[in-house]
Amino acid sequence: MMNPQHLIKMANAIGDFFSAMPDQEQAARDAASHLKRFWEKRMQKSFFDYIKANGDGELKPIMRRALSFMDEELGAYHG
Amino acid sequence: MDTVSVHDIDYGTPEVSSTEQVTLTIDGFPVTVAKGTSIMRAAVELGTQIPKLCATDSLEPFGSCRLCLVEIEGRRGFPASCTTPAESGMVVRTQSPKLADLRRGVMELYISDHPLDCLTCASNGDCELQDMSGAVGLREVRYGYEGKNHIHSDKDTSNPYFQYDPSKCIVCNRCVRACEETQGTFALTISGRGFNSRVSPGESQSFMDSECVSCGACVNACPTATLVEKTIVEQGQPEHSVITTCAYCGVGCGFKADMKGSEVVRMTPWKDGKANEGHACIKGRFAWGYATHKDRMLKPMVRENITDPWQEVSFDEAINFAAKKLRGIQDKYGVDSIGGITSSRCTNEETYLVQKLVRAVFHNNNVDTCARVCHSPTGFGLGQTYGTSAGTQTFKSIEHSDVILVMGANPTDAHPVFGSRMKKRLREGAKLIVIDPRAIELVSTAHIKADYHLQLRPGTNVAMVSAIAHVVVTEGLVKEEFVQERCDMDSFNLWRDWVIKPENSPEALEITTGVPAQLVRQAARLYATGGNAAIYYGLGVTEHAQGSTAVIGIANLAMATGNIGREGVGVNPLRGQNNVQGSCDMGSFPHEFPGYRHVSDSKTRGLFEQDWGVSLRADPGLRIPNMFDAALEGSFKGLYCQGEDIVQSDPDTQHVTAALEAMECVVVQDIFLNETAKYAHVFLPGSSFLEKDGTFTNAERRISRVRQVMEPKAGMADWEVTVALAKALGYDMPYNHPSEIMAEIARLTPTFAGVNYDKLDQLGSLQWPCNDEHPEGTPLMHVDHFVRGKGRFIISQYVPTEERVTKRFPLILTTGRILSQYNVGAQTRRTENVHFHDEDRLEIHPDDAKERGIDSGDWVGIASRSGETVLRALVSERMQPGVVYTTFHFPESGANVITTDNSDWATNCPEYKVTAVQVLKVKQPSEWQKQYKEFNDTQLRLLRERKTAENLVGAK
Ligand code: SF4
Ligand code: SF4
Ligand code: SF4
Ligand code: FES
Repeated sequence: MMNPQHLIKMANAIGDFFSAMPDQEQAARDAASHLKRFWEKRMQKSFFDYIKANGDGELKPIMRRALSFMDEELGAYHG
Repeated sequence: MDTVSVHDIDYGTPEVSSTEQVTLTIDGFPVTVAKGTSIMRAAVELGTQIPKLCATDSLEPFGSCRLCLVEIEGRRGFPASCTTPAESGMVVRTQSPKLADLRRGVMELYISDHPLDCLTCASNGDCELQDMSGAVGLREVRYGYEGKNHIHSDKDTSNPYFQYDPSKCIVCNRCVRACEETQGTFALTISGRGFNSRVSPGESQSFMDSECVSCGACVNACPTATLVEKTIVEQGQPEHSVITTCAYCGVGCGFKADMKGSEVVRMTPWKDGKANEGHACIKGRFAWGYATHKDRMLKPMVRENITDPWQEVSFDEAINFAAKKLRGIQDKYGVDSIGGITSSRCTNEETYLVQKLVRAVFHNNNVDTCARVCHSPTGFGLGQTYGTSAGTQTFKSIEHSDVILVMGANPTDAHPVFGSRMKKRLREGAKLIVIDPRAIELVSTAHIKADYHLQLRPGTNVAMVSAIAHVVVTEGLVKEEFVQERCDMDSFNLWRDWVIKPENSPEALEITTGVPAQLVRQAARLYATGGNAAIYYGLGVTEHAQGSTAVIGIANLAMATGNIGREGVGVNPLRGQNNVQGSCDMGSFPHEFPGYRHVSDSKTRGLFEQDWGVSLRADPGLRIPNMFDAALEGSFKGLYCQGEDIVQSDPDTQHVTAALEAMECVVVQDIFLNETAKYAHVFLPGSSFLEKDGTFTNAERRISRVRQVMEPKAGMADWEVTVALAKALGYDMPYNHPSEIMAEIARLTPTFAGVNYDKLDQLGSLQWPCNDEHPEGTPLMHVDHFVRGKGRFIISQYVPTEERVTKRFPLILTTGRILSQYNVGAQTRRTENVHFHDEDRLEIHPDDAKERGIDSGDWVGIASRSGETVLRALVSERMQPGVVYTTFHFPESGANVITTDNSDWATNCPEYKVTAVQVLKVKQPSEWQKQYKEFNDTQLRLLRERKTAENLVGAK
């Protein structure tokens, strides 16, 4: 697994950028899409595996919401 | 080979741009020129040379030598043709017995005080004094040579690249003017009066001790052998030239490589090069000796383990060894276990091939480039807001700027030739705002003083940009008309509602940035209302945890004030390395095909699949820092790295080297055994820019040719090596010449559709987009509409970096570069440039130094949470208290041992510019430095002990 602390930190940093947007629903969607467009699949997988095993407590609220927009089925990619 | 003549036509005075024309008669022939053109230049345009000494077309006329006298009908006396503008109806005579007499008289005076050693003089054949003696028909010197003269004056050879021989000086003042007008350094004066007058650097100092920055402009301008390159003294005059492009910084200066056979004897800045217009800096002009340095690696080498001695082999063997290893790794660990890194030091064609190799032959998207660690946020930020990942202007556009905002960039050191252009405009009266933690040279230098220096704390750029935007909006300075017509209004309204919040005011952010609110307000007003305002920014903006946010903020600001889409304005990233722009354009990023198209875009992917005859992946690959993380995790095992030194240039060195040690096959292609190569299993010797054909793209999107002036020293061009590796892996790339690679790029990339080598030869250079709509390229972007249609405002909220000062690490370290050294220094350290900068120093404010008992020259330990290194201190007022600074040009400095793994949220561009550190006086090198020395000594031994015999260690 890729260093999960690093991935969580990166995900939260993405969240920081989008959390300033007024439409929070859209912001969570955009954060999810950013992660999907720029993260290689083993990063995505390590990230999801970690969340599955440890819960989403370390994620900022916006990234928690973003999770629901991320397609967990890796490889099925829509940009 | 495309050779050109060594000598260019000298028009005597600069070109004048005026739409009004005048027609005059010179020696009976009519000639029409732009109004304001000198008679001298008009004559040259007609094909007539008027004798001259003090005039040259790179400088304003001076009128001192009196050799260029002419007769004008209806005027008394003999006006100087260099200072007299052509007028309609003028009738000019350039030759008459009286003129001949006068000119001979002038020449006689010059020659009587000149050593007559023409036959053994270095400038024999390239001396204007010699030419003029011939032109005026000088046959005798009545004053004799016995009188007072300067023949025994001492030469100044202190500069490593050129010498000054006062005995040959004719006091034409060209050098002094070149240093002022062209370079903007004001290092030279004429000291003494009358017969005693001579050129002098500073207050009768030597060149090396003076303010001189060794740009060579004075040497270029000198008509005699007074100022002359030492290579010319040693090797003699060149016999042909080849036009090529500097391989150092993102200015991309055009040069004439002046050749003697296959040996370079001089690099002369190319007058017609549009990026530099005949100017250069110490690096491109003089620091090319590394190309033939004894450290050049010329033989391919392989080894099983990095603890083994190297084994020299043929290219074939090395490539097969690499191919077998890489395939073996993929078989064992999966198709995604290998990748490649392209370089901004390589040509577009080479870079394109490496990403093609990764995508089409490795069958993944694990390709990245060093722009990851410098300007990736530029690509992201400008792409999101404007729709294209590039600067908006030409360099020349700055001639129309009224306000220049420089943020996180240091052009006089890092982009010197552009820095000179900027200084020229500032001397003409443009206003200057500098946003930088450090007092860079521009803040206060000869005849220039910044109107505002917003000396913010490192890491607070985004807060600063928000504060400026807040002032623009709340004080009613938005260019409403522009925004309504050109921008997406929904996005603007959201942005406006956000930016006017009180927490974005300069007053509220003062505590964050450390800059008085009033100063921010004044600077914001100046930017918004001072006329054409242009922003130039550099790595001080991008290399932050919020690098992309800052770029977005800058883009917002330019849109809100209507400073986009015409001359003199715009958003201009100053690129670090020569081909950063090009390597990004060429699809070096793991998520993008050439032309910035996401790999998930099925239409684009289909295009490439069809052309390349393979299926391609739709999911993004690993970025450089992700590759390291994956290597440490055990899922990334093989790397093909062309022309990059990731060990020295990437942050958190110990993390990088641990990652490389975890890999099973590292293939390095480079001209030297760089720091990364010390961790490699396969070494493929690369070629320098003098040995290659291709193109570079500079910071203004200008595509220029790099032309081969000598054969590749190792026997194979870099692109051929990539092609051979692809072939060994079972994929054919049948090109005969780099021009065919460019043809493929043009075929597959809409913004390059109109680019080809013939057109480049014809026009000298092309700025992309170059297509049917703009067959000769696009100097200015976003003129009528943004590339994405409507400009998009994006909220750019400041979020403090996690890297904060603590009791343990109470200072902030920021990094940068200096003029004479380039990046990791692999090239410049192997030239005489080391005389200008021979070690990296830690700059520290006097207060911080005093508190720690540190004096300039003391050894100090710099520790961060990543590591520790030791450098010598330089106590300097340029720093603000609490902030220390260093460069990273020498590997043993270990500047990146200290930098952390923090990175930009959008692109993973590392946060080089902000590291919390402690600085203490020490007596010995750091633990890391000791280990480095040991490792380095071992690797150099393994190189010395390399086997040259046949028995290749079998690739199992
Ligand atoms: S080399 Fe450049 S800086 Fe030095 S004196 Fe000549 S023009 Fe001035
Ligand atoms: S050094 Fe050369 S350019 Fe300068 S005044 Fe003397 S002759 Fe002219
Ligand atoms: S300014 Fe840059 S491109 Fe120009 S000569 Fe110097 S290093 Fe080369
Ligand atoms: S060239 Fe005109 S006065 Fe010297």
